[in-house]
Amino acid sequence: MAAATDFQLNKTEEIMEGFLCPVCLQDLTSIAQLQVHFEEKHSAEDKALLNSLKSIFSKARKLLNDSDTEDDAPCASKLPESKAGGAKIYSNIFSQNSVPPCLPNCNDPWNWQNTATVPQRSHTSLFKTIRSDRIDTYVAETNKLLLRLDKLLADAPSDPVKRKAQERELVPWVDDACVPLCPDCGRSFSALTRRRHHCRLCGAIMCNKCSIFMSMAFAKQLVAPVHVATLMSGSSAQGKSSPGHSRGNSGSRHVLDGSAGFSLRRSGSQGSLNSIASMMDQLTGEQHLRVCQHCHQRVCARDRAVQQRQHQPLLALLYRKLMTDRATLYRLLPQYRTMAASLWSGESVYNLSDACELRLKVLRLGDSINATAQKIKTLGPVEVQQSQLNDPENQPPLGPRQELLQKRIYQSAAAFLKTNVLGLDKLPDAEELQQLQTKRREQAARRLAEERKAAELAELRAEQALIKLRQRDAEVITTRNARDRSLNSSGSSAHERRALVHRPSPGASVGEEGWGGDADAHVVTATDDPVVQQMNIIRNYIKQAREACRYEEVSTLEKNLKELQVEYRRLNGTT
Amino acid sequence: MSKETSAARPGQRVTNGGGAAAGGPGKICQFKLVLLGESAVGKSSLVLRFVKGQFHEYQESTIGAAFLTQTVCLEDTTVKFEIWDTAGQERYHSLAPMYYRGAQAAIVVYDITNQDTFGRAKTWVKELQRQASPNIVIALAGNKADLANKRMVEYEEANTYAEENSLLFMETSAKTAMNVNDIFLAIAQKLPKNESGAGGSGNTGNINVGSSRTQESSSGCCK
Repeated sequence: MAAATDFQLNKTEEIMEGFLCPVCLQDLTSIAQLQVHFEEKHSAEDKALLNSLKSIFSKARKLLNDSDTEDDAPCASKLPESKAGGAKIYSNIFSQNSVPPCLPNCNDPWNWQNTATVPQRSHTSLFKTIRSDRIDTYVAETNKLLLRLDKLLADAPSDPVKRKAQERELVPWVDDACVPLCPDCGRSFSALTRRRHHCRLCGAIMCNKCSIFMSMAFAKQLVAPVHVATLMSGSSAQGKSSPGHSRGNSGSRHVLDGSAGFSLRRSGSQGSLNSIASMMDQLTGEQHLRVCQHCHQRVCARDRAVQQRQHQPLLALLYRKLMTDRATLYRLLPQYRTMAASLWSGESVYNLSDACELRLKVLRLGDSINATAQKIKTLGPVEVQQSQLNDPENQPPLGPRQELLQKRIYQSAAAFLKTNVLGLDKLPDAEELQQLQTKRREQAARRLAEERKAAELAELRAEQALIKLRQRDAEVITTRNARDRSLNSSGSSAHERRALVHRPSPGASVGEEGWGGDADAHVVTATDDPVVQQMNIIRNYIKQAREACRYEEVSTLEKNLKELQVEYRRLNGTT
Repeated sequence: MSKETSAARPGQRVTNGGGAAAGGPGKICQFKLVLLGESAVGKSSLVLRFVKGQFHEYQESTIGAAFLTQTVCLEDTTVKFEIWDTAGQERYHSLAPMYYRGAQAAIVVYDITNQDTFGRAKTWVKELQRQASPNIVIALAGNKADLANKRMVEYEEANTYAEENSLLFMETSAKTAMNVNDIFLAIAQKLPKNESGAGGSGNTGNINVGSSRTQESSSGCCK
């Protein structure tokens, strides 16, 4: 078919058909020739793309050919490319359909859609104004209800009649004559079978069936101080949500979602007619507060909103636990390390049992961290769904981000444990400790002996020097000059001074022992002995310090206890 | 007693943080500090104010001695005070020597509204000078400075006495926190911050004396 129309093509200028080169529009009579031509002249182009476009090009090109010269003239003139380049442009248009099609500025040559003519209209601001109006209304309404409730509860007289008067005073009741039918169920009122009742919060009239008794406990929970107290006790870490905040706008804002429908319907609930004080009200008035469904749902919705804000995802709770454990561990570790090091070096500053206990504590904390981290890691959609059931509103579904978060938390905890707990230094056992301590004592003793020897040596030398000096003095009788003498004597006195310093130090405490004097005078009886009393106090301190893992202080206190014991023994010995 | 012991805890918390933080750059010095003075002059209140920042109008009288710790950071060193707050009552006087023995610092407290307590403070200073370690830093604190209208001890009188005996002197008020931190800081600054000062708490007393002696004797040998 194509071959038949070969020669007519040149004459028909408007419609071109045949084996046209897609790029330069040359007619190439046969497929083979077209292919050869294309590979020779346009091989630089993206063949695959062009091939794929081949079918549409034949059609598109024709349309574009016309518009090219007219509409897109400015675009084309901007581009330095030749016609061959033009193909590239269009191919790019096809390939770049991901480019956002409606940029505000239509100078973009890629943007061949006629965007300028499409008017854009934003409804966001309108939406926002409407929405904020609504929110304000609901917030105000809910707050009004709560304020009324607060007043109703604040100083309610116990006498039902007075109470009713107070209720009517606080909330203007709708006149009975205005409401012929129950606005909720649409039934007519009668003096006996279907009496009129007033909502204590909004004053509207409804029948008994359509009213709800709100329990006093719930009402009290709703109004501020108690509510705040439960809020605080519910989650101590929720301290940020101040009472003002929870009662404020944002608190009630959630209410709107739940109660939007009711308040709209309520506007039609202005009815008629009159009521007599009902026995029912009097009987139940002490325990309950009669409210209409709308008010009830509204306050309930607010309560739910507040509770929801208090509610914390399990993940957050677990994470907090993890972090506190980590902090304690971090606090304990340096202590443990110093204790272990001290024990290994054979010092007797710390108790082995204390160290063991601390080690156990550290390990237990590590276990707890590990367990929490595992829980966080496996905290899957199941738990989240469970909490969703408890709290049907706006629990975000478990997304990949949360999964990632959980994984990260686990990894960090694992890394923390690996660096801090797994490599926990071992403690020497009792035997080893004894060996270490004896070794240390021996070393200390040896050092002391050496020092003493050195001191003696120094003394000896000093004496020798003195003797020598004297000898020299004796030898050199009068011919010595003054400078020599002063030099030597200063050297010897330095030696003497050092020796003096050494002498008292082996028994350093001797000098400080002078406190006997009036100690005995004040000891009245053994039971009333301040020393015994103080010993008990110190024991108590030690216990507390041990519980608080303040082992340094334990050692200080134990030292003091020993002192006290020595003192006590001394006193008992002397008296 | 339970009050005192519970008071000890927050102090420990502070120390804990300080000790952990100061592991790297500055050195940590530990000092034993003892509070002495007539009963009801405000020793415990002073310590409580310093350690916990609290003040109780009706502080119970101390039994025996209370133990608290607090850390003070100076420019380059961290000073950890082990504070022994002794009972001022006469019957506990026998315990005092045990606490000022080996103490590097002492605060002798008197009440500026009571002349007798000042006299008692003087005897405490005398006792310390005679029987405590010779290089003990003694501070004299005229407490209850907020009650200046009932003053019985003149500032000048106490100040001259302190100068004569080379004591640190400040008038303090645990109630208004006036000069409370200052007096402890002044003590911390006056205390020697070398090795022996830090080790003086005595855990490793023997060893320390030994090692310092090795240095001396070796230097003696070489010279």
